[in-house]
Amino acid sequence: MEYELLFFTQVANEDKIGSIKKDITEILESLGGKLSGGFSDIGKRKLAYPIKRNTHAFFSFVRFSLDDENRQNIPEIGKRLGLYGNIMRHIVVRAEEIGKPIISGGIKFEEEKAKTRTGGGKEKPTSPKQIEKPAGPVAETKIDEDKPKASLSELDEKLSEILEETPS
Amino acid sequence: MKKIMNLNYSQPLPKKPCYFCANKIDAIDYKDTLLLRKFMSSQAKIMPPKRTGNCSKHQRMVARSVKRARAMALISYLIK
Repeated sequence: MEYELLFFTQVANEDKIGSIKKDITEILESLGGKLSGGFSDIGKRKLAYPIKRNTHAFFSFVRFSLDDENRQNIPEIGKRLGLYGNIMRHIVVRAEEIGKPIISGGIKFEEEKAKTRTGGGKEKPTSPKQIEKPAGPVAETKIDEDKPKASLSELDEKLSEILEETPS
Repeated sequence: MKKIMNLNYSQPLPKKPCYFCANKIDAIDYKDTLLLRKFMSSQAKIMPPKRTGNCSKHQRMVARSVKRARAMALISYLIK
């Protein structure tokens, strides 16, 4: 059965990524895994929340297959990767659950977004605040007045959601 | 105020088709954060199928992917 391993390391380890990949291949192959294709790098990406004071991390994933006899090695792989100090977090999932191996548009898009944000000078994004503003008690009147960057239909959906939540 | 009342009580919402059934998607990648965002509220909660129209099979897949993506810091647990 085929599996996918996603992991990320600290940005400081970006130079060592070659040796990290080698170590991971060793771990996988020692437990009966066969790499199908090489590592695909997602690259440096902003984390959704800071982990041990790191705001960015270097993401990469790899697909590998295990024979039926070696299938019970999955927890062992997880254990060894957990003990391996150079990666921050990892996840192993069945490949059939998540479809073809592609670097999805979502990830790239967010990366670009992060870049433009940092280019603007502010670390924290300003756009979510604007979207959240309608959550206040004056939400109703605000729709008609100003047109935020988010599309109207999107805003409407959010509003209706807020309204649905409050009466109950 | 009247508008709100209408929204909440009098008009039943038309049932949306399941996004994944309509587009014939049978696997959801947890790395696809843009897709997952569609099924999350502004507070980063997973939206109920009642709102999104997802069928229960695909709702389970969405929920699983969102939880995986959260653990890998691809999407946040909450947006304040």
